[in-house]
Amino acid sequence: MLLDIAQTAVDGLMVGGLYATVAVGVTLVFGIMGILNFAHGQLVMLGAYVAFYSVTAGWGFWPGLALAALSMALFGLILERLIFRHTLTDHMAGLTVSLGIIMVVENLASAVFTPDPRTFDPPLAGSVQVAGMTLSAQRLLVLALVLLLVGTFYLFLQKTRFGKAIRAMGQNRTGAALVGVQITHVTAAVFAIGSAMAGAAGVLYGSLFAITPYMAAGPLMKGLILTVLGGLGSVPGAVAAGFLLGLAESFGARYLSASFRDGYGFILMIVTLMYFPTGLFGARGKARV
Amino acid sequence: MTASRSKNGLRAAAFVAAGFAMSAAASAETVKIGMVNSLTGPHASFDLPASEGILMAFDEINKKGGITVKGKNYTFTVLSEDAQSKPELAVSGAQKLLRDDDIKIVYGILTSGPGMPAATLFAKSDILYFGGFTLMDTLLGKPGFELAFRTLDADAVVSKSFVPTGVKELGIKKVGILLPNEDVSRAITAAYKPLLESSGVSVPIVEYFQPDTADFAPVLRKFQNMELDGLLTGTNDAVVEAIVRQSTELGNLPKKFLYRGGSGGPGIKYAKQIDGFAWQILTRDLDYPSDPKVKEWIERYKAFTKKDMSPNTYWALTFYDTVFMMANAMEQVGSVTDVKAIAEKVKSMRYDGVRTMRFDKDGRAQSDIDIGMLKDGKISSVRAPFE
Amino acid sequence: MSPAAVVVRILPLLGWLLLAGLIFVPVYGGSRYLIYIGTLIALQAALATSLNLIVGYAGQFAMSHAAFYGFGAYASAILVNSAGLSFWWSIPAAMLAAAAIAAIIGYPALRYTGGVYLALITFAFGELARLTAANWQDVTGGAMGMRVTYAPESLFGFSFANGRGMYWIAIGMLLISLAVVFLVQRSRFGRALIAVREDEVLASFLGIDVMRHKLVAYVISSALAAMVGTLYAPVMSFISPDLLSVQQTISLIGVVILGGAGTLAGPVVGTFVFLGIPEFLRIESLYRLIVLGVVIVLVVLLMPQGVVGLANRVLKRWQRTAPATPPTEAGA
Repeated sequence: MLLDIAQTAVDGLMVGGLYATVAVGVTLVFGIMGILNFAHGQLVMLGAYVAFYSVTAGWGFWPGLALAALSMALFGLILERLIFRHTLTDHMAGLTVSLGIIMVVENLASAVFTPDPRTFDPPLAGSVQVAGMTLSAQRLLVLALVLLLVGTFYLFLQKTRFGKAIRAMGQNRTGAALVGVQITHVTAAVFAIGSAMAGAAGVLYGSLFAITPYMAAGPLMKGLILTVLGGLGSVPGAVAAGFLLGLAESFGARYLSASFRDGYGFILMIVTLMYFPTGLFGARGKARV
Repeated sequence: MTASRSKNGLRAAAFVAAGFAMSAAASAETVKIGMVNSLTGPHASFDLPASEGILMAFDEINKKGGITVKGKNYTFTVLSEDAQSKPELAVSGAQKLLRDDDIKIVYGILTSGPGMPAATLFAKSDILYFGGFTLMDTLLGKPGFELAFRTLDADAVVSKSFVPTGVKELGIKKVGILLPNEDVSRAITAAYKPLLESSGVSVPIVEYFQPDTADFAPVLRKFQNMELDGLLTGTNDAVVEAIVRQSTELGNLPKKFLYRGGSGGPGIKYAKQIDGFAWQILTRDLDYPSDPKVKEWIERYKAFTKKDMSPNTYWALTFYDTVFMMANAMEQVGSVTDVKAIAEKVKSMRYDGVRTMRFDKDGRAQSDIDIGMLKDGKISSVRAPFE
Repeated sequence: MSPAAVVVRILPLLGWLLLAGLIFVPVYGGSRYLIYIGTLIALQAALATSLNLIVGYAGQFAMSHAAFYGFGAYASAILVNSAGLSFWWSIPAAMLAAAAIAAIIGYPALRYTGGVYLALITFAFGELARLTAANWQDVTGGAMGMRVTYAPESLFGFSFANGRGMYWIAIGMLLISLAVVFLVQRSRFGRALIAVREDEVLASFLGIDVMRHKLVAYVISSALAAMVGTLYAPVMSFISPDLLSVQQTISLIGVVILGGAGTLAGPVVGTFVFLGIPEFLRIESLYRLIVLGVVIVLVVLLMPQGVVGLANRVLKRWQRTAPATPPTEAGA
């Protein structure tokens, strides 16, 4: 029984870590630019396909991971320059335009990649025994990579100059500009980094589950839930919320109804918003009217 | 690929045009047949091959000179509408066909979403309708649906042969049922569970997962530590492949699988890690055919469609034989327009085509199926007769 | 009049012409197919119009519209099948229930400025509603959906049970939605909504109860969506949980923006473009969505007021600069 709970918990942490990687990108962009980018999920999907083609072309998983992160960073940069830059003043326009981008990318992908699900072979197969629990080896690898990614990014935010510039912008845009932060550079960098993380999340996702052009909806919804739960703009909040959501889903599906799986997350989100409007960890308040 | 999809559309259009040309040249009267299918969209993987089978059958009839009814010679033309995998467009496609009062017979649709409203419309309009979608079983036998047929066996029929054969070949004693929470899942459980139990297999657990689940770990864990040796699962290849893969990754889970659904793909991919895999082929096994009729049909299919076989090609046999049954019925009844009589005649016939087809009084198919088997690393198929 | 001005003047009228065409062509055209297509377009246009109230006029992103549409269909189907209610009575019943739910969700969601909270909560609610419909076997038939065998009963001696009858109901619902938006647009309530859309904080300084206005707009628009949903059930004779998916709402938002958010004719024009053109040009649905996406991006970047809105703006500017022309009310 205890073993079962432990295994379910590990499953949850692993999936939650994936969600968190997506959420970090969403919350960062929102915190800095005030734009809720619904199209973020598409970057996850594209990253997964980059890895798929990389692996089937024989280049391997790790090059595929690097390629996905880089190509998505580039794509995110393009999106920012061409499109989101113009919607900085009108947040609703930003949301709207991201809906348009979703329609284009998703259906174009479906036309080019075909809607059939694809899988590629992960670097690790089978299971390992850890402390009496039987765990999937690849899932453990994903968990390790996620922690590495998120941890590195957190350190980057806290310790480097550029990271501090980002945080400054998140706190007060005008103030940051006054003290010499290059707003446009930082904005572009934030978009690129968030997109790179989304691409990496896509690769990790694809190493465990089948990918389709329509797969973006799942990670996107989870990313949005986490952004809210963690407090809009808070990176540690998003990460913590990610693990929390993963655990909630895992235990809910394991011990309650598995056919209602996504529902647990939504309920969690609605309840949190009602009682903790600034999220579980967010210090950012919103004006009440 | 975009290219192949529009090529398919072009091919379909070309066949229809060829049908037209053929009938025009024959200077015989033509009978118009309607066809609604999801030629595009996610359901196209079922409907597109099915539409090819229909066109192929009518083409063969026309090439042999059509049919002779009461001394007059008739050939067939098929008018096709694309449902685009959407219920609203299935209905509008059906409405378009019904604009033509000459169309009294319609074939098509293998998925329940578009199928249900379309079938209801056809029933209201007194159309002789041959469909393939699963939920049609809930409509057959109801008042107003005397002219409706489903040309694929219902789960209640398939399970009768699938369960004993699968249980015997794989040697299963204790099974769990794991299905997506979809329209047909509860009907599946209702059909299979009692049959399993009467074959001496105990079923201690039945679980439904959310249809777009990718991570099966939490729900699979419900099946651990129960000494299950088998898993009954479905309903499509992608889902079952994920389930098989994640079962092998998690460990402590059954290694024999009964697949309510289409192909051996999921099991064959992980053949080295599992102990057995049985799947249903509702029409005919095209991958490992030993039946000469099947082999000949495959050659004709390739010649007609100029395409190679794909994992979904077996759906092309959904309506193929039924078309011939309908044509025979027309000749025997002496009419191409009296749909009531034609329907009655079809229900009384037994047809030994590529499939052996029969219909009961409600229009339910009672045909034999093939059961695919992966056992001891070897792949084979078993023909399961209806009786 | 310069040619450009003529074109611009015509554009807002285009919406009304399309509406007239929608009402009269199927009647005289006669075929069941045209009537069916007309019904579909009318339903979608009514949905887009009601969505316009909250998205276009109040400037709030409600992602739950399709969920209320589906809720209307399910609620009325359940009431008719289990409680023996007549179809006509099930409409206000479903609308009331939808309004209550919208009030309950809307209240916490609208408390804060920034449309993000509303977007997220309504998004979550929409998906939750779909999952509930898919799982609540006993009540909704679960993933199998519900078969609908009833048709609207006769009223005042007119029969509504056939395709033509239901088509008239759809037109009626479209006219009701348009009327509601028209009245709002002319009223003080409507002007306050626009003020809220432009700048919430400023609006509250001006004494407008922002929260209440947003909530009322959300409740009305959701109730209208439910109203349209009640007709979907007998028209299609089958409802399934996919009706409530967020994808539908996203398409609807696209349609509203395309045609012109915050204008009366905008949603109607947008619906025609989105539904009508592919139907008559036989474009595969995949490409239609891609084109819609591209158009949305372009419209947001270049023409923030949509097609009809742009026409209105140019028209107003033309009127201001034109000499000796009597002032006229701006077009739709």
